[in-house]
Amino acid sequence: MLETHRLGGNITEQWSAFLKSQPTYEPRFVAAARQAAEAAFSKLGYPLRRNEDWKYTNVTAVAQTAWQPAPPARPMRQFDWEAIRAIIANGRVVDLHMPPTLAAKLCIMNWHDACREHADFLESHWNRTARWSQHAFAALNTMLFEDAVIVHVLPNQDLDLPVHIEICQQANEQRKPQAVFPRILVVLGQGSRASLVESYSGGSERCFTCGVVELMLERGAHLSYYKVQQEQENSIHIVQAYARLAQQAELQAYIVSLGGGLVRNECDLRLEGEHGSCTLHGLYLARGKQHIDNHTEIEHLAPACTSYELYKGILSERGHGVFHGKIYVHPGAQKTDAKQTNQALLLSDDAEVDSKPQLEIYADDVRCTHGATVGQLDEQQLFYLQTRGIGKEQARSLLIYAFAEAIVSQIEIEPVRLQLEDLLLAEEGLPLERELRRLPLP
Amino acid sequence: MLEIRDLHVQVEGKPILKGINLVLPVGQVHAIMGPNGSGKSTLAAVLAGREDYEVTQGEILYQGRSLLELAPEERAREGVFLAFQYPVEIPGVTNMYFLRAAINAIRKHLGMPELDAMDFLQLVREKLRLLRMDESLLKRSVNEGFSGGEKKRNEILQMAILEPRLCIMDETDSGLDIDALRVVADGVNSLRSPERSILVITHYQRLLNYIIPDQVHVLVDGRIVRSGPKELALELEAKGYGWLEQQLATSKL
Repeated sequence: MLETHRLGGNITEQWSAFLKSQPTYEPRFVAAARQAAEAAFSKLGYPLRRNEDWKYTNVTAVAQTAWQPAPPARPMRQFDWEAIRAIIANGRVVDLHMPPTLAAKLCIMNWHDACREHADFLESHWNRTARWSQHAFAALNTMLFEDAVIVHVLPNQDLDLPVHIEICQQANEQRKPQAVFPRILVVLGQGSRASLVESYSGGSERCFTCGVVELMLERGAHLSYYKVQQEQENSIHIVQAYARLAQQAELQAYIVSLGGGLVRNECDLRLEGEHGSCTLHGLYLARGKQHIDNHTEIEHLAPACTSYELYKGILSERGHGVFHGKIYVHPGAQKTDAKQTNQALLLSDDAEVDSKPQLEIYADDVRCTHGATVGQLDEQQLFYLQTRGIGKEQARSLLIYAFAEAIVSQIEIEPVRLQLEDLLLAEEGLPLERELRRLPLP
Repeated sequence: MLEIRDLHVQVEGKPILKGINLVLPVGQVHAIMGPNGSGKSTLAAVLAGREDYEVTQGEILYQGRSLLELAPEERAREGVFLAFQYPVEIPGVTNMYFLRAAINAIRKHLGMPELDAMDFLQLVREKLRLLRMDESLLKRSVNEGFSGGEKKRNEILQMAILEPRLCIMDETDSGLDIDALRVVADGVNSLRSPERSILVITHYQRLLNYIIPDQVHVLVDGRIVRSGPKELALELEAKGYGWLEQQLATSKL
């Protein structure tokens, strides 16, 4: 029984109809990919904790739940800021909006239209980055995803509007466990620039989001990528982001996790061409019984690439944070410059953080560093605030906020930054001071 | 305003202050001078309420009340202000947010309504001009990336905005060039008033050329060994602390 579950029996039974007859509009190579993924998953099974990559994160709850497909749902939030926007509700693309003037700069489409109209593009780009043959959840997603958002920014285009993909999940009325498999592919043509915001909301204790995001940056492309996860506190979120960077491509990523019960953010980056660079900024807040696992793997395959990672965690109550950062420098990737830092603020005796740097270096002329700090609030800073009349509790809150703000302040898309700042202030019971922001200051 | 009686303080079991007596009347400016390690900064920290300093004997009366019973924030709300020797950097908190939190905490304690954003800005602008500081400071994090001089000016800016009754200035002159020193001193002088007392703690006499004290106390080895009018500072400058230390050693014999 347990073994059947471990091999996905809990899901494949529910999705058997889907697995037997997939959408007729899908090209043949998609069907082949789905079958290969199914075979891979039945070989891999759900990862066990004896798998080093899952040492600190237990997915038994995922393996033992009889997940069902989610019913259709409507968008749950309204957004008042301008963007090229796609909304994935319960795994299906329900809204797609782009100002027509941008048609010369990018294509954005759902899975059906991509299959029908851009099959060649899909064949050469889709599922080329995800490591579904090794990663069980990516395999599961490839088997079972129903819809996808496909974005292609054309070469040498600079998008002045961000692309915003909202992924929301709404529980079914019977409150039965449900799983969704959002899928995203973003391709940045040579020399193009874009910002992508991926936000996750909704969910409940019986909701599971199993997503795959593929990012392909062609030569000299530049992507700012913001992932903001604010799902309900008991939902399960396992989303694997895979990126490939060609020569001189640059990825700036911000991974912010505020919600969810069991959360795994996986970032798998491959620096494939010379002078590529990636920066990962992570922020995670775990309280209650939240478990937030940030797993990063950065492969340096070409010379003279840089990777920089800074993760910051705030752990309170019984919150559990994990940071596992792998850096793999391949032979020949000389002049690699890689830096990795995980800083965690432990605010209660029951909170916990596991930090696991893992550097594998097979080139000799490289600079790789890693560091981890786990600490409490700074007594000097607390005292300073108190001597200005600010009560100890508020001073603590302000310092916790400040710790997070160091990441949030770098988010360049103002509505996203302000929303997060408000949220963090509210979380700490601090005044929002919206009017201060509006003051006419240099 | 402030009366310190037989104050003994130790840090990590080591006695630093060994029986300080000092009376600072309302409206006056007193200077405390002393060589390195004499306990000047310890005195400042104890007045502001630092917890890792243990008071083993004596008391501190502020406006007739025992100061030692109050938490640091309560002292601040009652009007005690310490300008730090080494102002603390707080990345992630803007000066604007910080100043507003501070002023509202104090106003709330005094039963006054919060300042609205425009009134707040007006007040801050006026004080910025006084200290010749740029408005862009408000958007920057508290003391982060500030030069030594900017940090000290920021302390005086806070002092000017929060309008304390008792100002304690811990080595405010250290690290300042002569122009910055003058700006800081002008700021402090503008705060002199019959309702306010100021305690200037300094190693050097030069600050006292600009902020003229009513009285000077000399702190050596945890005790005030001499008090006198402002000329005492000049005498110290001419003769050095060794002169008093020697006298002290002789008197012990």
